[in-house]
Amino acid sequence: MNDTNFNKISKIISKHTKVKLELINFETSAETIERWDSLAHINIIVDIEREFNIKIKTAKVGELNSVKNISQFLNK
Amino acid sequence: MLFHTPVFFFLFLPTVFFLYFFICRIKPNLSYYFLTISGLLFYGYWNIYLTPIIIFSIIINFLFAKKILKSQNTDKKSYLLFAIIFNLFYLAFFKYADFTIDNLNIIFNTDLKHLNIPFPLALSFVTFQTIAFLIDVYDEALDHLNFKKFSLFIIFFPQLIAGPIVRYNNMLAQFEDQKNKKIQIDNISIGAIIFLIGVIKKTFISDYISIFVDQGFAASNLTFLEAWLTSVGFTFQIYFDFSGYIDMATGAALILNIRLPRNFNSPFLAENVINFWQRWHMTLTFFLTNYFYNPWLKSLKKITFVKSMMITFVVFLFAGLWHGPSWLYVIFGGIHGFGLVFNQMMKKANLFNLNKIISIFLTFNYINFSFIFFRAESIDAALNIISGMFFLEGFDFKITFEINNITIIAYILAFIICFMLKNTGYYLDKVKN
Repeated sequence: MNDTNFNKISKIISKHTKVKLELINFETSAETIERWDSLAHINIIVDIEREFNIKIKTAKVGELNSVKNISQFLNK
Repeated sequence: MLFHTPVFFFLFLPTVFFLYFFICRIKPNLSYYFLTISGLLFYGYWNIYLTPIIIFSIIINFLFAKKILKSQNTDKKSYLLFAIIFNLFYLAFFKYADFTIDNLNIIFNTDLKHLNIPFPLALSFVTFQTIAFLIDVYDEALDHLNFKKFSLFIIFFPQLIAGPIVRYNNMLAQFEDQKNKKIQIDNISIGAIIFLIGVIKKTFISDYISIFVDQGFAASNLTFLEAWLTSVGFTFQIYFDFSGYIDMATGAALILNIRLPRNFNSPFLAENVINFWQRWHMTLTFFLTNYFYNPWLKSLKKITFVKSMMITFVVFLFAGLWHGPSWLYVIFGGIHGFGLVFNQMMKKANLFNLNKIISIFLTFNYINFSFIFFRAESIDAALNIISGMFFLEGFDFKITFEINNITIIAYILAFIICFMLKNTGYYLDKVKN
């Protein structure tokens, strides 16, 4: 995986879930972080859109609920 | 046609099964049409006069989809909005016309007559499924849109009447998969077992409990014990009825090699209301989150906790009303909306550390309370049960209702299954993955 992408994603997730940056890895997801709830999720998605200058489709928003899914999506 | 009738299980399903796989073998292209026609027959057997309403919805929405797909930018957005509003009005016309008239009469003190428009079963589910589909079309997130596939997606008989709410891509991928076009013995046996579990849940547990519950909601005075057995009974009844129905749908679809999404996951073991909706009618929650809550919240300039809670509450009021044309359903939705907001606030304040059993107990009671409004035919009837439950009528353990042994067994089984056993979806995942 692209390291800069990973760093950017982790920073965004850490910002909205208050989880320490060093604890976030490729397997981190809404399942593993208690504070990654529906509100945090939308904040994460909006920041990802801003950071990478993309528009995420409605049906995709719900699917991007882990570091893995987000980075795979960005690599497409 | 209902799933748990002999005509479905001994005639309709086996006939569809043999013809479907026969057609898959000789003319696979026709298999979509065949299943679509089967769906129409399934629906038409219930009421042939209302079938055109569903057919019209399919045709017009396919035309909307084509139009959305072909247009650009603002036009595209306008077509999508128009199509969504059309679908909501279409549903409202058939489901909420008399409800609207009643309310107008109260507000303006008029005497408008009821229109008595018959409600086409399935339209509530068809509407949500279609709206999700149109949004996906707008986002160009769909694979190969064509009429035969779209109509099958809407009218596939196992999920047509009461869900689960399915998604176009997921269903189409399964219909197109070559290995799903051949008979698979293990799917037949597992499908039949799940179907049978559904039949037992519905006709044995749910229906026998309902004998008691019906007396409770019809009575004017209930003892303490009667009131509790009535309300808890209804909570069990609706779970076994609905999840039994979903089991039958899942089993029937599996026999045709189609996996429907999971819709229930031991909901009464939820530790809070948020968790309840991750376990109860899961495909509805999925729809509301992905096509209602998320886009709305995302569209805001400044996303805050307070705004997200307001949206949650409104979404649940709407979801409540979607269940039926009555303010009682709105109250049901409101109780859940309030519960979700309250739990989110607890979570934010880090107060989510209650003992697991206590959490389950409190959540179940909250859910149980909400279902009184779901079942009652009036606010007074709901308050009647509630006053019985909370000592206002005295603390009496007598039961004056007729109650037979099978009903008692059904109550005990319901309790054991809900709180102590794994669910159908768990076993299905286990054998199929």
